[in-house]
Amino acid sequence: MYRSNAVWDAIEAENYRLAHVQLAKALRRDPNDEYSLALQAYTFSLERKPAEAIAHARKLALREPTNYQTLELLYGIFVDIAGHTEAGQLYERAAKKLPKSEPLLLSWFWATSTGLDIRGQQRASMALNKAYGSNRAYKLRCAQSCYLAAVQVGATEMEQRLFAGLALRLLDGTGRPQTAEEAVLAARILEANPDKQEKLLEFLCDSETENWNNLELAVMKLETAVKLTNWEKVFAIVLRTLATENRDDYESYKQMAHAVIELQDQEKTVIFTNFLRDKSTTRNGALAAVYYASLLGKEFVLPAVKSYFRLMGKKQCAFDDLLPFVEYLDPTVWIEFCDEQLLEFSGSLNRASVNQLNILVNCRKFHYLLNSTTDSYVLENISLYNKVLPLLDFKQDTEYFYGDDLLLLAVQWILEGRPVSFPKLEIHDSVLVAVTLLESACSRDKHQFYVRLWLVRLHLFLGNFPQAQVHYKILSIKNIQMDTMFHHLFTRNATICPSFKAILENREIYNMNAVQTPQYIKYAYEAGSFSQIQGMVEFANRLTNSYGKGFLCVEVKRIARMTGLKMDELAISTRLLENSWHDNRDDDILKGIGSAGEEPIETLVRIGPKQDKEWINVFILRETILDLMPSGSKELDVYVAKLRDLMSLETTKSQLTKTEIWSMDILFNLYALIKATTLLAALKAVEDLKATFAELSGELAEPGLSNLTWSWFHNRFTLFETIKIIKPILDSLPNGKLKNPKLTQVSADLRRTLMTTAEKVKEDSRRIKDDREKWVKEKVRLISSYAPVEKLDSLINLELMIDGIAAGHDATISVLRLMKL
Amino acid sequence: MDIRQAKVSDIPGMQNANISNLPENYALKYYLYHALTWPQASYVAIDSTGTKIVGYVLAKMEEDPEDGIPHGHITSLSVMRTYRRMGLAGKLMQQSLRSMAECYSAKYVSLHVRKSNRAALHLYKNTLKFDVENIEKSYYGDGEDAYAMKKNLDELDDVDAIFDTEDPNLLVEAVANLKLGEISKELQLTQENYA
Repeated sequence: MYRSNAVWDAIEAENYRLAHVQLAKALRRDPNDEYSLALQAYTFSLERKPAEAIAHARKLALREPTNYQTLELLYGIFVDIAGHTEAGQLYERAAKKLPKSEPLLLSWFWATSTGLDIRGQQRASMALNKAYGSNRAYKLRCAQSCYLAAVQVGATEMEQRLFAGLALRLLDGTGRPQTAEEAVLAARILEANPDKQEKLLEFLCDSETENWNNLELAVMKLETAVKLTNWEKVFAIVLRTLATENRDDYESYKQMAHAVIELQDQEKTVIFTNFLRDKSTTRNGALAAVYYASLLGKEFVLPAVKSYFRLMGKKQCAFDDLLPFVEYLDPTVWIEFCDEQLLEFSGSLNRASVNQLNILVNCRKFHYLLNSTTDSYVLENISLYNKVLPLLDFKQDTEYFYGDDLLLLAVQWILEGRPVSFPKLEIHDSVLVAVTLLESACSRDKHQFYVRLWLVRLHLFLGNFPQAQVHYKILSIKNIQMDTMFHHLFTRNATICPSFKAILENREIYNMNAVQTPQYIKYAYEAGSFSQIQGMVEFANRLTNSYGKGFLCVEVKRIARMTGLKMDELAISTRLLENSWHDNRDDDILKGIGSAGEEPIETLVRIGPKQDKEWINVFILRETILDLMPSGSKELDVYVAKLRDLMSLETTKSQLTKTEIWSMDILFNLYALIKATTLLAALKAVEDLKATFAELSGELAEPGLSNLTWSWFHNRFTLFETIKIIKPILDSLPNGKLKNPKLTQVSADLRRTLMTTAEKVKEDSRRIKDDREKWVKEKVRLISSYAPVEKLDSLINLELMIDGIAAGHDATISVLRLMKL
Repeated sequence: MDIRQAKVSDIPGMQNANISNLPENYALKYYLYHALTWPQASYVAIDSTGTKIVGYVLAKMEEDPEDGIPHGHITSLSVMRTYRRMGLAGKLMQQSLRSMAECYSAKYVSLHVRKSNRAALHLYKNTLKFDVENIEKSYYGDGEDAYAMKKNLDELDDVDAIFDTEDPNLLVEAVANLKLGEISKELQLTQENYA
């Protein structure tokens, strides 16, 4: 076999032309060199020529190569372009020919395990175990692989039973666990076999297992006993954890509470209540008392909650800890109790301690939750905030100033439209008030992350992407947060403020995952870290198929189109349409404090309908259709049909804005035009296109609005994007047999309408820019005299802040006006 | 609040516990390497709902100990700001120290802490009974000195959140700051192993 460092050097230098030249030389010397043939296909894939790559790969696959290095190259190509099934067949055919080739079988195992092909991995591990049954490590890997196949999402009941049973039989062949990791694997495999739960409990309670001192096994032991409703065992386990081992474990307390209730054993109940009394000065013990009370009945809860609050009310976590138990409390009684806690120091809040501040804020959160009709809440909170400001002087940089939550609560109250003692404003101005209050908080405390995250959202709501980005950057979102927090800034970025460079930075986590996670999956097997493998695979899957990645692909391409950048290398693989997308977005972080409502508060200031997998698939299809339109190929018909099907679903339409739905209608009109084979059909298509365009364009071209929000930008950028899509298609008409003066005329008319509309939008944008000073003055007048802002002891320069918002609008409007159509 | 073994799937939660502009967001492979090489050394603290990660400790065994004695090292310790001053850091540390002694036969544990980090110093010195071995001049990238601290693992005291002994004026925050150079060294080791 020919080996060429020269080829790899060329590939690594991304000089693919040279690589092909080198390969051509090698193949002249030996036309049957399978490795070089595979390298050729691989080079095509690196050049983003999937059609050539897969064609070469399939041709080579027909020869049924058996060299593992050749197979490794081919496998990667097939997985990327054709999918796991076809990829896996490469190795299966080779393994049939060489069933005892250890390098081949190992290569198969690593390819499938790091490629997240669970079924393929299971087959590879079985082949390895069959060939090398005496190798304990291979047997363990096989057991692990079968376990993964049993528990993977989408496994049928039969598969679950089959693979779990197989894993157990394999495990039995490895003897007793030799490490804690093997013990965890054994426990999980037993757990996956529904008829082995008693055996699992026995295993977990065995002294040999307990000697591993593994916390995961200890947790599993309790969970298993609970699942089996073996309350005697549960009691014995938790008694040991809490008493003998003196571990302060809340879950143990909870289960002890359940056990004493189920067992109705006087002695055990006394032991438990004595425990609670002895541990009443610890958070877990005090909260466990509340939990136990909630199991006994509503009437028992209040005294326990009061005890808990007296102990823990000075901690920031107290409100969240008690939130699940609020339903048991009489709101009036509880609010009265909260107010009593403040009596001691409410007269001297400016000298309050941190503990007193925490009590105050916790009480105000309960007020928010239980006393929603009072109209003095907002101003009271602001007044309290002003009084506790002196505490900021003593705050360390890394500490969290709980007083800021008073402002967050006030902002929430305003946004939710709850009763207030001053005139209510329409949503745009309410958000402006919210921004003012929170910017003031940030100006005093740089490290205020919740406030900053809210400001990211609120600025974005106001269409002020630049300022939203400033706050987002201060949060230093990195690594995995680029996936979970991405949407807070970049939702609909292409049509709110197209930012190619900024959005592209988020690619980093997916690139990292693609390279590092497979390495570490392999490492996990080699290190025997069985307890982590399932989590690794799940983690890798979540990132590989993340919503964030889907949004990124779509938004980057749209931004490139709008800003006139090269789009050649941004083609989106249609294989993504087969993805089981994972939603990793963290919205909990903005769910709102003190909120027990059904709809999270962030929905009030959401940037359009919440996008889900249907939105991603719609736009992937749209981009694919746009790529195929110039050729008018048969594939185009398939994708248009798929898009029509998707758009017919209510779930899909509920995720798109009115403008996004309109842009899809335009796409369907363009398709009809491309496919028109007669003059009449072409004329009709152009008329339909014109009518659809007029549905929205008229409204958008009308001047008027001054209070900009995200939707103002979204509508106009979408309009311009649509014009950019329509124009080249119109420019290519009429052609061939459709050359006709009438068609030429109507196309030209439509082109003129497009450009006139664009000009009107640009003109209106210019008006907004010119009116900036007037808008700022008007808003400063309105906001500065608004009761909450007047009351706030603020350091910020309001005019500068509002002008900053206008400046952000200006910057984005410039992008809009400079778009070349 | 409960302590659980850290898993790979906990990484997003662990990073969220660090949302701020402090240098606590480590590279992905850093977390992965710790979780996979010493799965019983690192732990997370979860809130009473059992769903949210509110703190973590990332620890390892020294791979080539200079003194030939197996020992552990605390790489990173962090508790979410709203869950501080409740003894969580101490509990995470105790669990990790216990595991290192029992599972990996560590004889002692070392760490570095910035001279200016009073809160962390209080935790390690007063609560967890670490000793200051020496001061390493300009240990951190910004030139700050570090206390090199060490604790023998012969006896492990239990740490409960006992509030009546807590000094309300002292911020008990435990954030072990690593200099970026140290992080780079770890990543280099990983790269060398897996190039």
